[in-house]
Amino acid sequence: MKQKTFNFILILVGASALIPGILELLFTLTGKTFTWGEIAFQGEFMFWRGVVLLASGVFYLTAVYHTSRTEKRAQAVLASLMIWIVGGMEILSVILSSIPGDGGRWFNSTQGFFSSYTGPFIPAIFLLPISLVLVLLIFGEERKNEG
Amino acid sequence: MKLEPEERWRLIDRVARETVQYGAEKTTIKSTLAELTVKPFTGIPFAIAILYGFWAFFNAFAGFFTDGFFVPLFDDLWLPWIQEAFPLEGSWFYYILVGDPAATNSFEAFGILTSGLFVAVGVVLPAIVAFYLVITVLEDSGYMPRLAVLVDTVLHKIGLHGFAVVPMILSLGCNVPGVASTRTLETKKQRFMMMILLSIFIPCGAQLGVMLSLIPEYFGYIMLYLLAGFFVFGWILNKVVPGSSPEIMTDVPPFRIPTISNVSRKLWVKVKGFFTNAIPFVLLGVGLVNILYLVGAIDWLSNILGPVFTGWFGIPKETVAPLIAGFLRKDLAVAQLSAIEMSGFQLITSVVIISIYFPCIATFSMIIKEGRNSGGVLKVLGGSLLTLVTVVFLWGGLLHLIGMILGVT
Repeated sequence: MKQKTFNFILILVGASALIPGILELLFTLTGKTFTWGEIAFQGEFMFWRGVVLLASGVFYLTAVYHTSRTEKRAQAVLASLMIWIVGGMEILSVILSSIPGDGGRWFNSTQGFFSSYTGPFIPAIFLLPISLVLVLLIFGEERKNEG
Repeated sequence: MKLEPEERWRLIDRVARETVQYGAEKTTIKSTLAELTVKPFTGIPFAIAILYGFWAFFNAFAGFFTDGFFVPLFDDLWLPWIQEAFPLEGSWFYYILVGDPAATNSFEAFGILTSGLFVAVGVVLPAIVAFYLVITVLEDSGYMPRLAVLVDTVLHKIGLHGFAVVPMILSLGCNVPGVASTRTLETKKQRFMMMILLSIFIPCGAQLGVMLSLIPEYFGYIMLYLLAGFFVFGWILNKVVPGSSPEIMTDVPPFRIPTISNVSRKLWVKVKGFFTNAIPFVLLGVGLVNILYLVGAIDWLSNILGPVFTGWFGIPKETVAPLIAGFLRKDLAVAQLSAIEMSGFQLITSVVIISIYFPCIATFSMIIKEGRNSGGVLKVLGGSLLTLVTVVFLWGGLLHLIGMILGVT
């Protein structure tokens, strides 16, 4: 992958992580919640989610300035790992909370189970696919260079 | 087999020849990634992400089992059944084993077979499993030494070094292995300091689980105050306790993917320890407090200690009973506290007092045992008690003062 293309992707993903990170921090500090379409700025530990997203955004963006090819890519992988931790834990939480039922029922009804997955979701969930593609590209390129 | 030094070195050379590969190191993304996790700019935010993941997993996993299944199991099935089926209602025997016959949930019943079982199995067990699962994965992945390197500078300010983070993290599961692991620290001073700080300021996994389950809205404040206490009293102890705090060098292993067999084996050993060590103490704690209630000892102690509790700490005198239970199990004590009527700030203060007033009996026994390697049992015991009394009055009183200044007491 050309360096310019890679830098462009880093800036795109970096901004996509940085902006919601800042918003999550701002909403925590002002004590407000906000939903925009399927993206929700609410829930437990929002401050810490904001910190992690903000930091991962900064990592993607500062990676652009690394002259070392490996360090640039490693920093992008680190930022992606941080997004996966936040997004992954949210997915786990949604899955686990969709199983038990309420009102005297041990397990959730089929309708209740599926409605748990209708959103809205925290911003990190939406960053999962793009960060995953980025990491796959990075390791794919490393394998190609080794081969 | 005993080897002479010469033979030992020859054996080491032979093992090294057969196992070590020499050559130029190639910088890969994986090795650079490993380096980034120990550099403060990238390492600290990554550590925050790991800790976030830790607590989010803890919450989701423990919440799934406790709120999803154990609460309905104990409240809707077990409690009504045992209240109905157990004979001798109104007798002291019924009171100790089943508790309040009119209680509608397992927390309020407060019998050995109701609240005792519910706290031990329904609340604490899922929290312990979640905690040890994450800790084992972090240990096996090679992340723990990286965390030690990251916090080294901070811990040096209080006379400890980065590897002191291992007993700290272990104590977040249970203070007993935490205290036992202080033997890996270099000097008697460091071991003594760490044992005291752990047993006072680091709440165990069971207590964390109960706090997250019953008072999640105050959890952050309580942890922040305890962590501040850890560093303030660590700094004081470092100035007061004689001895040295040497530098250390450590080897940071590469990242590895933990294997399911290793993780499950370690997890089983740790959870088995919980079943044999902790559950009997929880049941015993409930029984003891019930007996003390029956003979009037709790009321007597509440009246005697009442002025100190209300005047110095700003908490109701009814918190005496949880404090007594806290000597056996802190998680049980926090569960009891949540049933007492008081303001949010009083609840925060009470939980802080429960955490710092005295280690649980299992930790206390371990401090005595480990004290032999840390300057002598009497010295450690005397120093511990002196520190405990000072901490509980100063740190507990300071919290009351903060509340008064903020106008929230």
